[in-house]
Amino acid sequence: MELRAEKIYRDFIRESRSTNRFTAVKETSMLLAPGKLTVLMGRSGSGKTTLLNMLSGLLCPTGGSITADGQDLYAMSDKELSRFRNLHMGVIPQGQTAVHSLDVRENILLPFTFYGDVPDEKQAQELMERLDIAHLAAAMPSELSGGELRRMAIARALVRRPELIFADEPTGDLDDENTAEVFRVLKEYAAEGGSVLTVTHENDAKSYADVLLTMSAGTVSQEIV
Amino acid sequence: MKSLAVKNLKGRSVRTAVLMTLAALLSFTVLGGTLVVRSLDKGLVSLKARLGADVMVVPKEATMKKKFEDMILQGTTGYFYMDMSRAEEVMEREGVGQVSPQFFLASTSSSCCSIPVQLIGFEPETDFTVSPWIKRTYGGQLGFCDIVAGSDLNVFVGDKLSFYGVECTVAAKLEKTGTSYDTTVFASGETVKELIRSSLEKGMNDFADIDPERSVSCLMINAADGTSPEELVNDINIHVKKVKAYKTGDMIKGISDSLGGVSRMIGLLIAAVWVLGIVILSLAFTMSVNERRKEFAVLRVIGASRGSLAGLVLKEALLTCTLGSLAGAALGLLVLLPFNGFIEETLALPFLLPGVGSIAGFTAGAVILSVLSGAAAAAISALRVSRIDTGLILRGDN
Amino acid sequence: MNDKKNVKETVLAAAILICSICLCAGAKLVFHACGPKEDGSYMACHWAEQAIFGIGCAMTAISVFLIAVRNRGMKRGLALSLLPCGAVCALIPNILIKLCMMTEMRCHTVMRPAAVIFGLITAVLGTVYAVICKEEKKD
Repeated sequence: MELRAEKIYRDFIRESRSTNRFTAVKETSMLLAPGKLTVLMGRSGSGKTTLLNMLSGLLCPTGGSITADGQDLYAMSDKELSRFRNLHMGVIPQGQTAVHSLDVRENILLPFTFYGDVPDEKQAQELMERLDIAHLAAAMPSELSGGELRRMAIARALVRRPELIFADEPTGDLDDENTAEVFRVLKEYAAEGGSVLTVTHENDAKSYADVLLTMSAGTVSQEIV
Repeated sequence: MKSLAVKNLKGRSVRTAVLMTLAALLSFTVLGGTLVVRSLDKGLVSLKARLGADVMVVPKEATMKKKFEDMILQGTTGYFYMDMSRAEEVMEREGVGQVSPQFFLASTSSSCCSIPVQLIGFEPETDFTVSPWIKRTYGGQLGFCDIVAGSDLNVFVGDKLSFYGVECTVAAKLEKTGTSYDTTVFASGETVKELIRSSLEKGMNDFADIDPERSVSCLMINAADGTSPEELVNDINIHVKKVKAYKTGDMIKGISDSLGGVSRMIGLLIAAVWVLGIVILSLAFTMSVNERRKEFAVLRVIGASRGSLAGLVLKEALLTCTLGSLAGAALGLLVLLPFNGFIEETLALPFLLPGVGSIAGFTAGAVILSVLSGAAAAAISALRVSRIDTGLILRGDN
Repeated sequence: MNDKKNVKETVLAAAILICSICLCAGAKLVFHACGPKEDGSYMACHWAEQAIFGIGCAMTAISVFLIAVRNRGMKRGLALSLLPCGAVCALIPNILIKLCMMTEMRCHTVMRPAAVIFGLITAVLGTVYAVICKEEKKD
């Protein structure tokens, strides 16, 4: 699936400042193409997460449009967009994102629960083995380390085999070995036809990128890989 | 996978238990309060019916120290007599319609327990106050030395009871009335006269020199058409000496007033618990939702619509409140039904539990009301959840 | 899973012990029968109270054994024995031993319902305990 952003920008209102309006992401156009791993790098506060949230249908841009295979994301109703995200997007948000009352396996299968879909236990098992958390299937999130929780979130994003993957600092809590494994997984996912966008600080990510973008003060620029 | 709502509730068992306890408190209070108020109302209706006559006439000495009123209203035992000539004088007054005499006696405490039993004799031919009650459980004619026992007497049909050496047979038991009838033994006038005679012979009657054949204790009177009970009461009190006529409506006014007071108090209590409960439930739901903002944001990311997030919060609230309310109602019934006798004694007011159907209705009502209140309390939280700014919450993590 | 089951069993055993203690202590301290008459003699309900106290003590002892004993078969047997004990306890007031003449007296309004409720609750909890123990064996 191809995701195209046309002249999108996002303003925020900051009541505490004298200039109450500021632009987090300046007018940007970009394309997430199938089979490509796009890496977005930049300093904290440069607008990376805001851009990722807009692209993943979680934050409506102030202007511009985002289309997935020609379908305008923000023209859809909330229900339609939610289902679209459920079926076609895998989002790995920042930080710890476990649902604490569910065990690891249930957390990974969570995307199947909202619309009464049959859980794909096999895919879940494969992902858990690949990400080395299979032995923790029945463990509760409170018993897991930060890195294990991260890997669980990655498995959850991939379990429905979505065409679009958005990863926001997916390797934040991981050691070098695990970081490399995560990028390998994302790279392979892209190679299998997925459109993957990952936001990261890790310099190592550059070596996996098909498209490398950098962001500074709300402006995106493309680097040559 | 079990429902996410159930998992969430189980995962936070302490919070769930506290919320369930609150919901239980709501349904317990409303069910308990309603049942007590309804029982008191029913007791009052029953008491009005139990009096059964417009006017009661008793000898003047019976009015000392509220002896007669306490007998009728509080169920204390006692007896007094007036000469038949006084009774005949009353019966001849203009405006007297139906009239029937009654004969009172109290058993001694020695036969059982430390409380004596009230005995009331009536004339089956003229009676219109006791017979309607007896007919509900006993269709036959009461023979000599046959008695009908009130529902609170621990005897069964066919049992023999001895009063002043005279053995009587229990022919029937009355239905529960919630009034002093429940601890009274009824018999025909002839039987009670025989018991009075026996008590006199044994020297166990305070009125040593009465003639049972020429004495009555009380006259039950209905005013004739065209005469108001007030007029009749005034007429008798003015023209007949040594007797006192009561309008039954006035007798129960005091009870009716205090019953109103108790009902109001209970109503206020229910309202206070209710308001407090809803406020605490709302706070608890709001706090719980705030604490789980990140989790809800994650669910949004995974593909939950705003509606399904609100639905999840509502579902959790409904589950908690339904279970809690059912437990509260069950506890309410477990306390109120077996211990209704104790409540009746404590309140010292006419108290008659509603029928099974009504109790079931009140129980269902209390549970539904409590569940709806819980849902209303959760509605604000559900609305807030449906409006969360996912992007902002997820950004706020670093 | 076993941990969860053990928690359930411990909670149940504690509840059974509490109910049994309520029964025997309550019969003497809280929901006792009517007091003695003026001449100092007791009414029938006093003997019902004694009987409830007695069976309550026996049920408390069974509950203590239930917690102390390790053997699961014995635990099941002990728990099951609470069923007849509780049932008899519920039958004592007014059915096995007659209470006072007036049902508005304390023995009827307080002692009887309390004995019936605690007796039956203990019987039911005991039976549930026995069933849970049995399931454990199957695993």
